[in-house]
Amino acid sequence: MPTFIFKEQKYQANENQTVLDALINNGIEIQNSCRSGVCQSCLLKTESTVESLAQKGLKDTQKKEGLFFSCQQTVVEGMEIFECHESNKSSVGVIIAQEPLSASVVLVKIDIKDKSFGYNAGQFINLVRSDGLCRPYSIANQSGRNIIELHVRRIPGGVMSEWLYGDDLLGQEVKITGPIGECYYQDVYSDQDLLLVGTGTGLAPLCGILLDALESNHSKKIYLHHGALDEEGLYYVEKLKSLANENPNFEYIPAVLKGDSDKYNVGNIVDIIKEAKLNVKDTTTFICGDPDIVKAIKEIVFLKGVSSKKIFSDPFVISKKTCSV
Amino acid sequence: MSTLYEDIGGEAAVDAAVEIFYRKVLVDDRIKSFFNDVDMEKQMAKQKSFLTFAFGGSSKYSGKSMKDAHSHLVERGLVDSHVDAVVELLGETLKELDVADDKIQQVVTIAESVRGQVLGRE
Repeated sequence: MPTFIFKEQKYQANENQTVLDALINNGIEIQNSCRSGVCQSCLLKTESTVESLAQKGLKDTQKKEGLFFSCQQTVVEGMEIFECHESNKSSVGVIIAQEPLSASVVLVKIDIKDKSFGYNAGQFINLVRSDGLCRPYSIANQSGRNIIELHVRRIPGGVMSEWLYGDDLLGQEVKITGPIGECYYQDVYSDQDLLLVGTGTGLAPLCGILLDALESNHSKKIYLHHGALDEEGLYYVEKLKSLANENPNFEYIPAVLKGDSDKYNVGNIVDIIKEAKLNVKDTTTFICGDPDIVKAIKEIVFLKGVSSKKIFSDPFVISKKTCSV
Repeated sequence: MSTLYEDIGGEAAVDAAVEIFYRKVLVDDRIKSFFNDVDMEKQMAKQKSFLTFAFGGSSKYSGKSMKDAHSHLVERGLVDSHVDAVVELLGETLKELDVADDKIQQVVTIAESVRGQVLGRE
């Protein structure tokens, strides 16, 4: 009988049993519904090779990440299975900088001790404090570095964000697990216009994507829309403006819901995207930030004619995003 | 003899049809409210399965049973006129993809075959 590992525990499966059935048989609750590889509710993750049927219809980025439908995959001897948002890598990190970017956002730099901890800018990691408190943050600087940069928005009463914002943490050790997610730049997008839309610290993964694209000499247009409630909510304005000056193909479009219309676009970012001109056949889109806004903009971009396969998103759910250590 | 599914263009045609069809659904005042609170990717995966079935690509709809999958919508007021709208949009989608009228008719017939189950009558 084949054995497999789930959450670092070893289990047994019956011959030819699906991963889903084997987990349920072992008393583990896994969301599922259609059992036909359609509804996507039983999606899990592995580094083992899976059958093509178990990934049918998934985006290439999801396949690369090892996601698969557990109802369509038989247990392979020794396979290790993770939940989608569970991390299969971890490293110790040391906080080496805390720089305020605005009245509510702090840039936290972390030196990753495990040099083999690879990541793509725009993916997120789980930051784990020594007491086990864990929150997801997006990687805002280029891929392939040993130091990662996070934009932490201070949430009043938010235990982790208050700690990262307020306390002097230089030299502090933390644990990093991940990386997770499909919001990142790939060379296959080089013939595409990039539409990056974010609210609040949804700017963080977009910065990562932008910097990777520029470093790869992306020659098509890159539009970055950053929306905030008011002027205080915008940050990195000068930095992004100067990047736009240096790179004629990059356009930075900050917008505030309320504020001085001489300095910024004033209006709802959803409406701004609705009005935006897009080369819909050749645009790849990344949308990050407030979940309701992300959902609305996804729909708008799709209705404009961008294929759903070219729309990537990362909705930020405050302290609810699954965070497994 | 080739099958209806092959005639229409197989999986590539389904992929193209899902995108066009779902764009129509999302803006149709008669039915869009039934799709408001669903995740776009999951919804499109289900519609792909449904269209594969309607195009004759699988003998049965491979998902939850049509009745179970729609019972919560029936509770929210899903009735024949909504199914009419879906069938109409399906036909329009195929027309846009230059599928011949007689093939469209066959697809509509297959889609109609599950109307009773969708509405919980069977």
